Amino acid sequence: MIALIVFALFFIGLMTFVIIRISISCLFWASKNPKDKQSVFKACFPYYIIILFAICLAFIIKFDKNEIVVYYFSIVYFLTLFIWRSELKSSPKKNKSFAVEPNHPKLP
Amino acid sequence: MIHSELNVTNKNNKYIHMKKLFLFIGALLFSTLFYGKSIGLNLFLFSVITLTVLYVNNKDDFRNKRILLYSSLYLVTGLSVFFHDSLVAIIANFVAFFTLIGLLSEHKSSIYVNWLNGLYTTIAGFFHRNFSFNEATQEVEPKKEIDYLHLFKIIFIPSIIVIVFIGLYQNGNPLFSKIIESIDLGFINIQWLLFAGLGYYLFSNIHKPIEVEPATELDLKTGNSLNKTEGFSIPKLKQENQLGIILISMLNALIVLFLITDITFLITNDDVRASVFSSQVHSGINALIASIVIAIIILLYVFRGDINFYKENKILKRLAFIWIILNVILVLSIATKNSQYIYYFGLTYKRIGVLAYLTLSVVGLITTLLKIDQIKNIWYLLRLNTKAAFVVLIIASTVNWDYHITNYNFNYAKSMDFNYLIDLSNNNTFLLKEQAESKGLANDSIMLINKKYRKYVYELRTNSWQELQYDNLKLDKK
Repeated sequence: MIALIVFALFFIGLMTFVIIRISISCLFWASKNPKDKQSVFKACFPYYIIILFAICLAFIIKFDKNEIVVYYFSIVYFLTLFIWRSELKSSPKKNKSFAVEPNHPKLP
Repeated sequence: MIHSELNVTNKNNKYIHMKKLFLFIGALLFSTLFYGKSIGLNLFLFSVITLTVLYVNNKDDFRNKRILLYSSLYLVTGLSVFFHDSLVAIIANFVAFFTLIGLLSEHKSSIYVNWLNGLYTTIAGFFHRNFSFNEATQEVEPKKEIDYLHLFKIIFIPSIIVIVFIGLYQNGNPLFSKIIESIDLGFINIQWLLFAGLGYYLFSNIHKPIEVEPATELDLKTGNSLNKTEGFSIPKLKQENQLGIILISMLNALIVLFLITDITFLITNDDVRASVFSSQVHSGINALIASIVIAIIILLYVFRGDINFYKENKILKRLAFIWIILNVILVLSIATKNSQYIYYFGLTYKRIGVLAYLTLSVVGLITTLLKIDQIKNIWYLLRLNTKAAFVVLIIASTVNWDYHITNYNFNYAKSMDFNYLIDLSNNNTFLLKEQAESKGLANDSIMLINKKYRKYVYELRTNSWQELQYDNLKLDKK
């Protein structure tokens, strides 16, 4: 029985993670410049998180603030933030130097 | 030089620690105020704490008059919740909260962008600040190092020492011992602490408001004035002008005819039968309200672009102004019908809603008139009208509607639905009790009133200090 519960919890957790991960990846794939993660973050993250928050809140209210539902959707919310964080941290490092490369290095 | 730099660093560190301490205290107060409690005095106290946290972190912004005004409105809505714990007041308090936070993030943006920024700050301000991109340095702003050891030291070491001393003093003084024993900290549990964590997260989010950059930038770039487009063509505009004149003239003629018949009906039928009036109001008002919205949309369509700059548009403009004025008269006629309906059958939330809607319609019509006269764009309309809606909401939140509905229906209306009054919130309970004592009501009604009264008094008596309402004070006087 306990094994079944653990398996169910693991399955729900995995499914939640996959759904959130795919939804975030969709935003990057749909953007004009998927590699520019900061611009995707600026343009999409605010609306994404507001909509997600509204959905979580709606479910919490729908289930009459049931404790399990509150904990589940709180985890969904923080998991989303965590996935966004890992996505942003994995952004390729930009060239920190603003010095212009010489076009003709062999000129006297 | 090195000394002055060290001083600045020390000051910054002190400031950061102070800020953290404020957030920490705020979080504990948040949990104390709201954990397992219903809404009452706590929402007003939360408004005060929020304003304190915002003021401590954004002192310069609080010199702005608009921010002071919106802060006062936020406090007013908090007080309204204390005075009459109505849903409108709670909604107004939330809206005022988001507006204030949004205004702190950007002073010059429109009110609907303030709402968006306020909502975003409340939900994810802390996260955004840690991952925002600095355009100047072209890199993600590094997270400031938090000295957790120091934080642990300043919280736990003084706490442990204070607890030890309390234990010592308890043995030395029986009165002090009695006071300490009377302090009950049994309400603190894991969930309470988690709730405090939520409070800390909330205050971390809002203490330095942020903005949704694309929306705010777009809003700041968008002015209120309409500009002539490159495709300005006189023959095309001449045709558009003719179409507009014919359309609005016909609509004017139609509305004049309608108003004449409507006013005649209102004047000649002094004592209208209930069935006629009910069908008139229910079917008629909805249609008329829709007609006003369509009227505004038609005017916005006609005056959407270059026609505003066409020299021979004076007749069209005059016709539009006449149509707007006639629509305002139409609103007044609907308001009269609604008022008569209220007089005959009593006040209800739906009927008050119609009046609020009509007020907003008049504002919409007047702003449309201003838009056409001063050649403004649709954003100007949206900005003014959302502000008007906000003001109406704040004003509506200050009124104890349930009390006034009950008072009007008992003392002025020709007839009323008693069960409707019983089903209203507890804000009318004391008044119902007074009416039951002073007026000759049916026994069934008195029984229902007494049942509601007893239940409410029990609720008030069992309220904790966080849930206190103005009615608690009234009850104490009795």
